[in-house]
Amino acid sequence: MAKGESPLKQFEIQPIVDINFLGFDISFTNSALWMTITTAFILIFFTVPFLKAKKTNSVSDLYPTRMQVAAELGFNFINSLLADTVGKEGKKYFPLVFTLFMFILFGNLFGMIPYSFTFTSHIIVTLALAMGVFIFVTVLGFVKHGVKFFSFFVIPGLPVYMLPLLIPIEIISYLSRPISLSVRLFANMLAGHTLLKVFAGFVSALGFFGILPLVFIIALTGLEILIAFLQAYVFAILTCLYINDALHLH
Amino acid sequence: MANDEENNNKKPSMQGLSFAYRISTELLGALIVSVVIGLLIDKMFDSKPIGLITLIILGFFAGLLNIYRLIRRIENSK
Repeated sequence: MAKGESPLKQFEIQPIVDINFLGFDISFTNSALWMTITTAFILIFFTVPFLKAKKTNSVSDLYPTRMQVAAELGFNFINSLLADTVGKEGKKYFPLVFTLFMFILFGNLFGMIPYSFTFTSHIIVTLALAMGVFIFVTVLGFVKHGVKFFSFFVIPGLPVYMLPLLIPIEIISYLSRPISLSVRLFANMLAGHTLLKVFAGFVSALGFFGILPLVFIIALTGLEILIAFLQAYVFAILTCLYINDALHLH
Repeated sequence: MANDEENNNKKPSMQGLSFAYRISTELLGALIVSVVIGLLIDKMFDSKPIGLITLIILGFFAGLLNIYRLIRRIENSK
C-alpha cells in the first residue's frame, strides 16, 4: 500500500467498461469483473473434473482425481447440511443453497488475493443475495401453506390477549432476517479487509519494528480465510433453516 | 449421517463459531428494521416521535426473541 492511501480505497468501485443503457449507468465495474471470475471459476471447478472422467476409459479412472474429490467434498458438505436441517424434502432446494454457498465462498476467498476486489464487502451485493433468499422463502411458504402461512406469526399455545403485542414482534423478527443475514456477511468482510490494510500501513510506518505487525498480518490472514469460509457456511445454514421454517411452520 | 471422523471432530467448533457470529447481528438486524418501519409510520401519520419510540421498543424485544430462539437451538443441538 502506498503511503497516504486510505485503507478503504480497496472498496472503491471503478468502472472498467462504461455502458449507458437508457440513462442507467450499468458499467462493467471491478465488482462485476470479480463476480464473473468467481462464477467462471466455479463452473470450471465443477465441470472439468467430471468431463475428464467420462472421456477416457482406463482402470485408473476408477480412482477419482484430486479435483473431483475436492468438488465432491463441497457437494457432500451442502448435501449433509441440507439433510441435517431440512430433512428429506430438502433435496429439492439443493441447487439454491449450493449456488449461494459456492458464490459467497469463492467471492470471499478470491477477495483474499492481493489487489483483487471483494464484492461481498458491499452491502448492496449481500443485501441482494439475502433479499433473494427472503423472497424465495416467503413465496415458498405461501405456495406450500397458502393463507395458513400467516399462522407462522402466531406462537401456538399463547393466551389471546398477548397476540396484539407479539404479532408485531414476530413480524419484525421475520423482516429482520434479510437485514441480519446481509449485514453479517458485509460487516465481517469489510472489517476484516480494513483491519488487514490498517496493519499493512503500520509495517511501512514502523521501519524495523514493522516486523511485529507483519507477523500479526500473517495470523490475521489465516483468520480471514477462516471467516471467509465461516460466513459462507452461516449464509448457507441460515438459508436451510429458513427453508425449513417455510416448509414446516413451527 | 455418514461422515468421516475428521468431519465429526470439526463440526462442533464450526457450529459454535457460526452461532457466535449470528448472535451479534440478530439484535442489530431487528433494530434496523424497526427503526425504518417506525420512521415510515411517523412520516405516514405525522406522529413524529411516537411511532419510532414504540417500534424501537418492539424491535428490541424482537431482537431478544431472535437471540432466545438461537440459544434454544444451541441447547437442543448439544
